Amino acid sequence: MPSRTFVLNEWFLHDLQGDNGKAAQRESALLLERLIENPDRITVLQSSPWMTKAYRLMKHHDPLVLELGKVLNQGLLRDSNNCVILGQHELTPLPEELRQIDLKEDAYLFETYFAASADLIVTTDRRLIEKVAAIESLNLILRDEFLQDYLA
Amino acid sequence: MRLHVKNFRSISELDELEVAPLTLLYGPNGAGKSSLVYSLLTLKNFILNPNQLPNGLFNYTFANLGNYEAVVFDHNLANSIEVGVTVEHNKFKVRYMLAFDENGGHLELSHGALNFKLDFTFPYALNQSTKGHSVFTDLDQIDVTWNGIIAQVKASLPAQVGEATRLAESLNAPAELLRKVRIVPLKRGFSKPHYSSVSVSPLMITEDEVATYLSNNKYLVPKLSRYLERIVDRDFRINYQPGTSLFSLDSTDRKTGMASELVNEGFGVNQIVHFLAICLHPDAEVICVEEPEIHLHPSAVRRLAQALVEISREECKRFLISTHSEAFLSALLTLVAQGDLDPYDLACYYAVKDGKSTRFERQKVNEKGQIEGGLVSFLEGEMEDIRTLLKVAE
Repeated sequence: MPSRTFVLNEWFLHDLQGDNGKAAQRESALLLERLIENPDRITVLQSSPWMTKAYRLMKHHDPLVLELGKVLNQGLLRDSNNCVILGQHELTPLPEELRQIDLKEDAYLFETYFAASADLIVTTDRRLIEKVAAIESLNLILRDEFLQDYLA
Repeated sequence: MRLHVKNFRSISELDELEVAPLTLLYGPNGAGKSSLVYSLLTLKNFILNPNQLPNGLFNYTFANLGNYEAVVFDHNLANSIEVGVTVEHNKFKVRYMLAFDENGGHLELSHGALNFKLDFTFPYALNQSTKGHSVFTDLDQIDVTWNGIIAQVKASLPAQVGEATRLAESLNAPAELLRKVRIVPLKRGFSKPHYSSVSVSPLMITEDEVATYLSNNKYLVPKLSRYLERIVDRDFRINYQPGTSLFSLDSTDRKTGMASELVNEGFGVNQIVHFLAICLHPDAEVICVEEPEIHLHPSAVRRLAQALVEISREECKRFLISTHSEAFLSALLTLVAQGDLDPYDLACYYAVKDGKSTRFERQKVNEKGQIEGGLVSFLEGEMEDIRTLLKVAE
């Protein structure tokens, strides 16, 4: 299967941190492991809310979360095969039709998606998917659907 | 600089390994990291003294690997050991190769269109030579004679003296570089409160040799002290005992002002002084070191990484480092991300065994401080912990 590039919303970090319960933490830990093993990549934006939360995860007091943070950093974010890190200067303007929509704090996800020519945005926000449903150049999926398929 | 190794211990064939200003070797115990360093030392031993039996080439003072059969790949006497280096000099690639078995072997030197090959038997007393035949039009009058170690170049016309000198420098560049290879073995540090001067061998391995070298180099001590302060916040100096030939290697904690002999410091500080003394030696150009970060706190490991980057840049040194520390590698990657280290100046190799043979996988580094394949080789334990803690089935 050819490699795909994903934008994972902040749910991934909350899951790993244990904010969404043990089951979600387990699923996201498995996703982390699968992403490291597979040729697929994630893309992340420097100086973004995602990175701030990732940093918090890496200095968490809980030993398990700390280990997950270490694996996230050294196994995924540090790996140029598995992660595309974008600088703010690499972002491109959003397409006109998307600029008409009020994306609020989620705008950076779409900027990352276009700048990295990503294949999929994985989110827990059903309303966000509905908001941009009419835009054909976008490909969004709900976290649970994605994991059901990806971890199968 | 590039290394070529064949049939040396667990390395059955290593076509080419680039030694960048900072080259890191990591991987499991017994993967073959040390073998690479030992192969380079074997070649250095030959350059320093070819007039010995092959077993002597495997004696590095701090370690003696034994006889040819013990060292050759798969202990197969039918195999011939090959070790070589390629260096760039005056825009030319100059390749020097030594291939040998128990009895003898051959040496090769190539530089552009000039190629030399010389057969020899052990012990080789440098009593043979071969002549070069240049194909360069403007070098037609230049004769080259090579005895397997040193190339002598003779210009017939006064106008070609400059060209001949440059050619001689290039042809001798690999041997010159090999003379400047130094090893900082894992067994290092200072174990005595006082030292007296001893004679210093070319490899400068023992603590007495290193202490003597330090005591004889008043300009080196402040430089070493400066790096030590940056890494572990302690200075370094030598105290001579009046009326005796004794001296002590001392250090002062910059925060508390507490002074002590190095032997009374923690081993992390102690071993770093030994390491810095060897790598700041003006005649050391390629420094092989095993686990420079050993016994250092992670924050000191980061400062050590910064210091090595600075030393490699300011003192024109190359480091061939074997490590088990992801903190050390991670610190170097961060320096790349900060723009303090060029990604091309950091070569990372994951050593892994394929059956009996060692393979060195290059993991390329990009300008964002990322590395191909990540640091997963350091994370096996963490992954196992996570699976256990989350009760995830394999």
